[in-house]
Amino acid sequence: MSVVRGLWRYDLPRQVLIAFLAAMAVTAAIGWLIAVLDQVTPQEIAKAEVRGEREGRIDGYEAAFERGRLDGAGRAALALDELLATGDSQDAHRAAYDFAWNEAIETALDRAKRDKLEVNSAFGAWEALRR
Amino acid sequence: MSEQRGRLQGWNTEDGERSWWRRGYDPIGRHTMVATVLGVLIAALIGATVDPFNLRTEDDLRRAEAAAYEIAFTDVEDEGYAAGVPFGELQHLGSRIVDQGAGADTVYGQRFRAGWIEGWNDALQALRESAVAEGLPEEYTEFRVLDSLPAR
Repeated sequence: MSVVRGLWRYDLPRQVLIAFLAAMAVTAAIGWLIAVLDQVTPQEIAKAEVRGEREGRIDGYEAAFERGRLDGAGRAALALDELLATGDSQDAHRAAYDFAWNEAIETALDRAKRDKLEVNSAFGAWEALRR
Repeated sequence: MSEQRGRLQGWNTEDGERSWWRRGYDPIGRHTMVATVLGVLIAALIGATVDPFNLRTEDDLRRAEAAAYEIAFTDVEDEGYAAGVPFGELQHLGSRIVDQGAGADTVYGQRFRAGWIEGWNDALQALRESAVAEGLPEEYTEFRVLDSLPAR
């Protein structure tokens, strides 16, 4: 303590300490001010989470679907000859029918939603037709 | 005299020969300047690492959105992949059997082709009937779109 008191007698150490503490205080005050001005509400955080979740679900699904689609195409390419030779023709008809059915609905919905100008629509009824 | 030694008045006196902390002056403000810079740096470092105010800012908004995105992205991966595989299989079979004519002389190929055509055409018919049942006028977009889609 006596060393500190001894040093405190001199202007320079005192001045250095004061400058150091003042700089910290001013920096902290500016940081606090910036943080307060930049502050967001819990509602905004919740909205951001909902937005992130929605986009994550869309992007994640699309990316995984595309991976699955490519894998499926690869599997079908490998199995094509065997399917043509020994595959169940009823299964083939049903699978192709459902695929083409859904493809027609998706195509019509995409185009109609893009071009739609009227208020009333049959989109809900069309979507319900998906298999 | 000892009090005088502790003051800034000591500029250009014998105090200049003493250790820096014992000098009563700071001719060019060097020590004060270093202390100020150190104070700013240390405060900024503490603020950046410890986050003592713990306020939610725009930065937290981005972090929250990114975290939710990551979780949701991972959550739907299995679901998307499971839907993509059969889609890719049938899309490829359709491309080979219907578009390129593979297996045209096999029962499997013929039935696949028939299903491909019937499913599309029946769906267009069902869409039209559905739009009519909804009571939409004939000039509505739905009908224009259906008219533009060719039957297979």
